[in-house]
Amino acid sequence: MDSAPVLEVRNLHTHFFLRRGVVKAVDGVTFSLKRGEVLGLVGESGCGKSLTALSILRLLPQEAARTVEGQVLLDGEDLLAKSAGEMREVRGQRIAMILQDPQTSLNPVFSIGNQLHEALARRPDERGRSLRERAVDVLRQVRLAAPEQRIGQYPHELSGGMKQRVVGAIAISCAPEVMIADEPTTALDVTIQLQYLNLLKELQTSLGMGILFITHDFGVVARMCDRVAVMYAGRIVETGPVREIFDNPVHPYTQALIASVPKLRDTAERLRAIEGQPPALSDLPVGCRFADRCPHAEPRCLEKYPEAVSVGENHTASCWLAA
Amino acid sequence: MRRLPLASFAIIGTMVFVAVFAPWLTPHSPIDQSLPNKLLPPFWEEGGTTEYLLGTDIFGRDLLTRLFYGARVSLIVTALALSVGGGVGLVLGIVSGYVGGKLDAFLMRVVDAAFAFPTILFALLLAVTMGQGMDTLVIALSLFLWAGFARVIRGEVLAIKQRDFVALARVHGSSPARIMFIHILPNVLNTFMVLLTLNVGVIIVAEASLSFLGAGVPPPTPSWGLMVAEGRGKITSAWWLSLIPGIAITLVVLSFNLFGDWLRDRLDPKLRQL
Amino acid sequence: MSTAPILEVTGLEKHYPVRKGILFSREVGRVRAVDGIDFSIREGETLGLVGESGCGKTTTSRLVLGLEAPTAGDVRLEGQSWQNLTGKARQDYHAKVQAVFQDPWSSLNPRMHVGEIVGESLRIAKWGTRAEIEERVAALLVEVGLRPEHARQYPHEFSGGQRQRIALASALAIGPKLIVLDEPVSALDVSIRAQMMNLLKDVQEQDNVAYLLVAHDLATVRFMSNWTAVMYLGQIVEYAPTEALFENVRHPYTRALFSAVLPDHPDRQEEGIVLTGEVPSPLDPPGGCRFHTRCPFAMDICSQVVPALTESESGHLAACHLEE
Repeated sequence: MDSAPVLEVRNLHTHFFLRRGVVKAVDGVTFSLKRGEVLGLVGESGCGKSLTALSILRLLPQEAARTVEGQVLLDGEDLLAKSAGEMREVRGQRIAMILQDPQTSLNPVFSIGNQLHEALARRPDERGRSLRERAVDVLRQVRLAAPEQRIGQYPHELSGGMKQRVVGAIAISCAPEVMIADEPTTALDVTIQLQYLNLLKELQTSLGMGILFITHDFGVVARMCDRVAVMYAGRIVETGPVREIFDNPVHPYTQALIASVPKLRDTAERLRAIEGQPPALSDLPVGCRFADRCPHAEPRCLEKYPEAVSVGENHTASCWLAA
Repeated sequence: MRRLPLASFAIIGTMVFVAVFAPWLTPHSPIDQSLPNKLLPPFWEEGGTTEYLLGTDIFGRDLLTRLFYGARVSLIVTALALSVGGGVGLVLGIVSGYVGGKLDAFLMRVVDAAFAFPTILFALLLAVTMGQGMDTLVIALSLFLWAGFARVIRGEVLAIKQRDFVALARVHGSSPARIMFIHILPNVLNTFMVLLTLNVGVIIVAEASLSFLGAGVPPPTPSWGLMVAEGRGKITSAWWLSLIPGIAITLVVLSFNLFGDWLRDRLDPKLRQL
Repeated sequence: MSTAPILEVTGLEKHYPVRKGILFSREVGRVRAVDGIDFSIREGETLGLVGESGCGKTTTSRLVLGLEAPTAGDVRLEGQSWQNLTGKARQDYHAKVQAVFQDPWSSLNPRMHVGEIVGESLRIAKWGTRAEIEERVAALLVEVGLRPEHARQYPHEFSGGQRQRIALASALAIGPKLIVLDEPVSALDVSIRAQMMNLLKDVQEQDNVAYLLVAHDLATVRFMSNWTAVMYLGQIVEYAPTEALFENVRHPYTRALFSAVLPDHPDRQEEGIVLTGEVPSPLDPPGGCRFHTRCPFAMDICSQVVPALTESESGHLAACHLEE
């Protein structure tokens, strides 16, 4: 595996500036993604994981959101320093994105073929094939049955799983270096989810992309990811190889998250729940953000935020207990 | 978020104030004629006096006084037409949207018919058969208003009906009436308020138009539309007769529309398409 | 555990006609959302209804709740079928079966405060005086882990997990025998799900209420239910005590569902049946066994003869020709 990082995010801060105050949704996020690697960015809703992805692509949702600090390096070039025109080249060609909801990812008034042509036309074909041939080819790559017929169909004629395959086809059509997948299977049924994850894994291996896989589901992480970054209240609290995270989680939040999921092979009478709620992002504590829900919290946890420390090979955690 | 339209507030506030306190604000009568003082220009023109700030009409009545009393007429007509027309539209919209089926299909065809109805001709016809008067005006305007309310509210109810709390209300054993008026009604009140404000302007213009055409309030009761009509023959020699009430209508309608837009954005950004 | 069934569902069918034509519409087909199912739930027990979207599990729950009328068959609660009831008796039926839905953002009326939402079924049933209802609401809020003062707040002031607790309090208010839980935790965050599932179990123990749990997640079903029924295209294909089913899966579709469960560790992946293709349309379900088009073990007989639910050991039913 090539070890050079293709995407590096350094100390990224994206805040919402609202009249009632500043919401620090992404507050100092650092991670790197290697070529041919799947990095899972795991966290609950509102932890800032989706906003991190949008900040990378500079597609912030509202006027009020701004990236105020940090760097996003794609092959060493800082995306945050690029012009709007240069960013358009990056999106879709070098970084592709798959969103959660296939219903809204496709434009209902254009045929599947049309939407693929749009994406394919941006990159010339070295073998001189027609757009249509290339579109059929990409659809075959995402294992959509009968691609020749599908090309003329409209999104409403396809099922959710098929639509998400088309979204995947659009994403890989320009052979991106990085794919960001934001909960791509949450809206799919379980048996369809498994098919889709298998497909993504296959595409990743054959195309050598780095995938940033955003999810809240540790099952998806176990199935898909090589490395994991766990995010809580705007910051990454633990990063490490996937087996390390499952076998030897260090941060109490990671431990609790893994323990709280019911297991198929388990006949527990009660689940180990994490009590309480995540803190409000507009009013963050100075100390560790998990402290008030943490069973091991000590006074120092409330006073100062713990810096990330190494707790094993490629394994870091931001916790005073690990320091 | 759009800023509070202060100028609109001020104009609407002034209108309501002068309408309510008209008798105490002016020494003149809006109806009694005073022919020696006829056709005085506003005070800043040559021959104008400060006793008649905005001048007098052909019967020597103070224009400012008639403007104040005219505001009264406009507000009363608007309030009555909106309560009757808006109220009927609200109830029919909720029932049509919630009950659905054949009733809905029937009511919506009636709404289509009401939109196709020649309101002005109907108002003229009413004025001829029932006689001119405020009641005739209110009936005509209500008939014009209810359909728009019913259609928008019904659309809103169709969306609300799909939400789980409506299903849960049924699970709790609520009757259809309880669901419509305890559970759904409060959820359409925002839309209803916005519709009300946006229609004030429409009604004031309609009232003025009908009065102008002679199907509105009978003279000598002052109404802004009637004042414009009465002055139109003298527009070259005594421009203030028509122009001043015309400006009043424009300012008030504009203010209500700006206020309505603001309220709509404030209460529900979804409604921007209205 | 316990005695007579609270809920008995027999031969339940719900078909939606599909019409074509503008002036003279005629029926051109029927969506067989629920197509002949039987099950029962005993007092204080939980039945988990599992399946993928479109399998009819949500329609089944709506039929049980009386939100829709069945095309055929019967839903009996304590021996009474709601379709035969009117007036007061119908209201009594509604008081016995309540619901918690998936989306806590849609299930609470944004214009009512929490006290009104939780006390609504009590007011409808004229359960007591205003003060008595307020007292009961306060007790309910405490039972679901909230505070009595929350009664005066509006839903938008609460998080998803808290809203789902409010929804549960509202369902519990009238003291139902059965609560339909339609995906009660799937809209919640992972760290909140466990709280909610524990709470549901506590409440069941305390109030001896039965649950009909509609879910797509097998682990949730295993944690929550005593019995599990697996649905495919409007029919129950396997129905058994949860422990028996999880130890010995009989139907290939259930096995495929198990194979699709994501691992709880990177080194463990359920191997087995990975299904290809998608669920056929319920408008025109395949003849014979409905699963035969996707089943890796399909035989000739599967496309011709509908397999009956057969019992292997005590109470473990499966509908598959392989088992005969």
